[in-house]
Amino acid sequence: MDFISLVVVAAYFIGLMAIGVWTSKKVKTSEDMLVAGRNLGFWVFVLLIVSSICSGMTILGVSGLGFKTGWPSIWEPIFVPLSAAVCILFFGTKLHAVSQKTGYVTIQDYFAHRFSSPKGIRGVSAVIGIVVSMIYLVGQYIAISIVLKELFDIPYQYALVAGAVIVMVYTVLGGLYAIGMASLIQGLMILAGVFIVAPMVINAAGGLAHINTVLASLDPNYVRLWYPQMHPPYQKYAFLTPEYLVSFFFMLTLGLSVAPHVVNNILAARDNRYFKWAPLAAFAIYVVIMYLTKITGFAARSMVQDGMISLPAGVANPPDYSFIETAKYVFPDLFAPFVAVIVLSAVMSTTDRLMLTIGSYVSWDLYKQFINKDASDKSITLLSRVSIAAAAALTLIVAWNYTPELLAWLTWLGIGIMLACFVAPLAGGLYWRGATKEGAIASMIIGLIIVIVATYYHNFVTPLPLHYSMYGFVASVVAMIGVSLATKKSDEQVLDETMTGMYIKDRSNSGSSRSRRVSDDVVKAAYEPVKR
Amino acid sequence: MIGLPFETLVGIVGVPLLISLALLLWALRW
Repeated sequence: MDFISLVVVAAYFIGLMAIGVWTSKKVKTSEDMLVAGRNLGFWVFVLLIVSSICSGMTILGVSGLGFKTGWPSIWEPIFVPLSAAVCILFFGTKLHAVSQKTGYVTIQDYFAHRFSSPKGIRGVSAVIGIVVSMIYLVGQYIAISIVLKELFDIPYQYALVAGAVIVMVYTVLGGLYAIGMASLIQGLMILAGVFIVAPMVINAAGGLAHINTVLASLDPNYVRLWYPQMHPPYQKYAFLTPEYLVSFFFMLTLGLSVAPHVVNNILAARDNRYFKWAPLAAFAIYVVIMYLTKITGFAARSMVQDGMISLPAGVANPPDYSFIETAKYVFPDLFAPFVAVIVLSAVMSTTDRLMLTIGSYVSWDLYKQFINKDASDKSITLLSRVSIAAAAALTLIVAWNYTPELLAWLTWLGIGIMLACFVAPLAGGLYWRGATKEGAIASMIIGLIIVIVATYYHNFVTPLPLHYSMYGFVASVVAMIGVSLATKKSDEQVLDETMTGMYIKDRSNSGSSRSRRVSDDVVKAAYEPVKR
Repeated sequence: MIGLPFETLVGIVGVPLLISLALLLWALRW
C-alpha cells in the first residue's frame, strides 16, 4: 500500500470517526440514538434511504451481473431504485403520519399497536429482523474485505477487522445521527465516483455503440430486454426470462422496501411533507447511479473481449471485479484509493444501518418489552450500543471463516426472507382493515418456512423457474388473507388510530376521525410509546 | 441507435421515465 493510498483511505476513515464523535454529543436519549430524534432533514433523509439500500452489491454485484448477462439485467437498476420510492411513498407516507402522533421507535411498535399484540407479533418480527440483518451484515463485511484486499493487497482478516471496527465505532457513538450524516458524505462519494468513473470507462471501451456491437456478437440476446422464456435456460447466464423477471421485481422492489434497515428510517424524518418529493428524489438519484454502474459492467465485457483488461483468476466470481478492473484501466495511478473510497462508501452505508437495526431491535423490542419493562431510557441507549458491538463481533466471527460463494448467496437469501416475512403484514396492516394479528403472525412464520424450503430445493434438488423467495411471498400473502378472514377482526378504534384503510394519505386532514390525536392511554396500552 | 434494437432502447429509457413521471404526479397531486 503506497503512501497516497494510505492518506486517502485514512482521511476517509478519520472523517467517519469525526462524524461519530461530533454526533455523539447530540445523543441524549434513546430516541436520539435510534431515530435521530425524528429530526432528519430532507436530503439527509433521502440519502439515508438510498444509501441504506445501496450496498456493496450495488457497485460490485450490479456491474458484475451486467458483465455476465448483458442488457436483460437492466431491470435490476430499475427495480432496486424503485424500492426506495415504494418504501417512502407506499409504506412511509402513512407510517410516518401515524408515528408522528404515536412516537414509534421501531416498525415493531407499529405492528404491536396495529395488531393489538404487544408481545406476540413484536417478538416474531424482531427476531426475524435480527436474524435477517445478521445474514445481510456478514455479506457486507465480506464485500468490504474483498475490496480492501484486492486494492491494497493486505490480508483478508486485517481488512475485515479494520472495516467492521470503523463502522462499529461511529455507529455506537452517534447512532442514527451519525449514520445519517455519514450517508450524506457516502452518498455524495458514490455519486461523484460513479459519475467520474462510468463515462470515462464507457469512452475508453470505445463508446456505447461499440460496447453493444461486441455484446450482440457474443449473444444476440445480450442486447434485448430479456432472455427467451424457457426453463431450464439455454445458458446458465440466461436466467432473466420474463417469468423470472416478475419474481425479480417482487423480490427487489418489495423485498428491499420493507427491509428492517430501510423501512425504519421512515420514523426519523422530521416532516411529513418530505414524503411529497422524496420518492422522486430517491428514485432519480439512485437510478442514475445504478444505470451508470450497470453500463460499466457492459463496458468491462467489451474491454475483456477487446483484450484491454482481464479479470482476476482464481477468485470466486471474477465478473464482480468489473468495476474495479475498468477503473484501474482509466485511472492507472490513483485508482486504488479512489475506487476503495467509492466502494467502501457503498458498503459501509448499509453496514452501519444494519448494526443499528440489530441494536434497536435487541434493546427496544426484546429487552424493554420482554425482559425489563421499567428499563430506564439511559439503560436502553447503553444496551443498544452494547448490542451493536456484540452484533459486529458475532458477525465478524462468521465472516472470518467464510467461503466467497457465501457472499452472494447470503445477500439474496436475506432479501428473500424480507420479501416473504414483512411485505404481507405491513401492506396488509396499513391498507386492509380486515388484516388481523393471527393473520400477520401466520404470514410471517409461513413465509419464513416456505422461503427456506424453496431455497433448499432450488440449491440442492432442482433449480426453480422463479426466484425462490417468490414461493415464500405467495405463501405469506395467502396465509395473511386466509387466516385474517378466519379470525376476529381488529378493534375499530385501533384501526382508526393507525389510519388503516385503502388510502395512502388522509386528504381530509384534521377533523376526521382518522387523523384525530390519539388518546395517550389507548396507545400506551397497546405498545408503550416513548415518554417525552 | 447506439447499437441496440429499437424495443430495447424504448424499454431502457421509457420504463424509468414512466416511473419518474408517476412519482412526479404523486408530488404534484399532494
